[in-house]
Amino acid sequence: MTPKTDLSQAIANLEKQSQKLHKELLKNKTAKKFYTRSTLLAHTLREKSSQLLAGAGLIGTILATPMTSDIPPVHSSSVTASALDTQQELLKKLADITPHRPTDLEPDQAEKIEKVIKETLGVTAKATLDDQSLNHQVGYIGYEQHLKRYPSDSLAQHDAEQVAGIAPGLGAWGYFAQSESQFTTQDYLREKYYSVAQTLYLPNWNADFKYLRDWYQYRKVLVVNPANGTAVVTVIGDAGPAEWTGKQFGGSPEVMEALDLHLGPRKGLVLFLFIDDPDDMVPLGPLNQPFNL
Amino acid sequence: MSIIFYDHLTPRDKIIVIIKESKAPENQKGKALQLVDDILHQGLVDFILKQLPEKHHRPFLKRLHSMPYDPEILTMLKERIADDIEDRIKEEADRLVNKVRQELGL
Repeated sequence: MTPKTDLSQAIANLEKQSQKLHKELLKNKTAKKFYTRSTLLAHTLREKSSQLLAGAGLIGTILATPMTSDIPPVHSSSVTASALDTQQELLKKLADITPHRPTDLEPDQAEKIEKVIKETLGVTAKATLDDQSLNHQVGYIGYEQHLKRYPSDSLAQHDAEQVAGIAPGLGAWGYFAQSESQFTTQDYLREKYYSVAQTLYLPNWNADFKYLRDWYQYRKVLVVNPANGTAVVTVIGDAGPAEWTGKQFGGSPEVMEALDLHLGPRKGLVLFLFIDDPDDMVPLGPLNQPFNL
Repeated sequence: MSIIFYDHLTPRDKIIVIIKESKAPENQKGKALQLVDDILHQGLVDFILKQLPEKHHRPFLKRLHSMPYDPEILTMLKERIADDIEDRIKEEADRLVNKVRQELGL
């Protein structure tokens, strides 16, 4: 094999090939519609994927060789600026429509807030979903400990916020996986971004226990800190907190960090809304830019 | 784990090494690598869409763009196209990479 010294002609040919494939792909109606809002470039997708995996602490497990070193880097300042813009927009729009006390939302309040979230973050958040609603959609969230994900799990195996410690008991749904060998990325992300809701105080909890348990188990919830515009996609991973604590919700250490509520009193007022995501498309974790589909 | 769900089914690592080892200027190597990646991506997405029933096109594209690494995408394709979809993707990736190699004269 003779090493090439000039790839300019080859690049021109590859560009033609890429354009041809691009045109072919856009003959598909769904793809054409979809790609008017998204990108076709593989490296953009790789960067997004790497960011998601890095956020999940999984980047080290990637076997494939990433091409990022050969690709012009995304300017981090532009990403940060965009995230800040979203945060500020959300903060501004929510400020005068969000009650600043623990409460359930009136239908018209909920509608306004849901609309702002849809417009700003691109996700469908609902105070009531499938006729289910919590006793509060606005309430105080407290900093929870890590949960044991499988029987042999220990604090040292959690990769962030170890200062939180690990709860001695299990979450309301038990272990996330039955053993370390069965532990999946999904389980990992669920514990990392779990939230806690007072399902035990629902008026029909005992009467409809089986149905409600299945409905609430790992139900996707958007938690928004209206005081700074941060938002994080979580799953309900535990039941609580007890009424006497004065808090209505709980958040994993990583959730609280995403909301910037992990320092000081480690408590704050948040919006807590179900995410209508039947195809399970919205990834767990901080949502600081519009979810673009 | 792959960065894009199909990475482990493609010979992109081999072509990356070949391009990197060439004596071409760095900017040309970078551009060639991007094009190889785009050709593979567009080619494979088109290949999958042509086999996938139309009603599943949007969910597939949405999933691919929200969680590109998700191994569940392959599970979904197995259920909705055929059990041997991995082999089919592999064959298509080989075909695409062979064309790229021809263009590169490698």
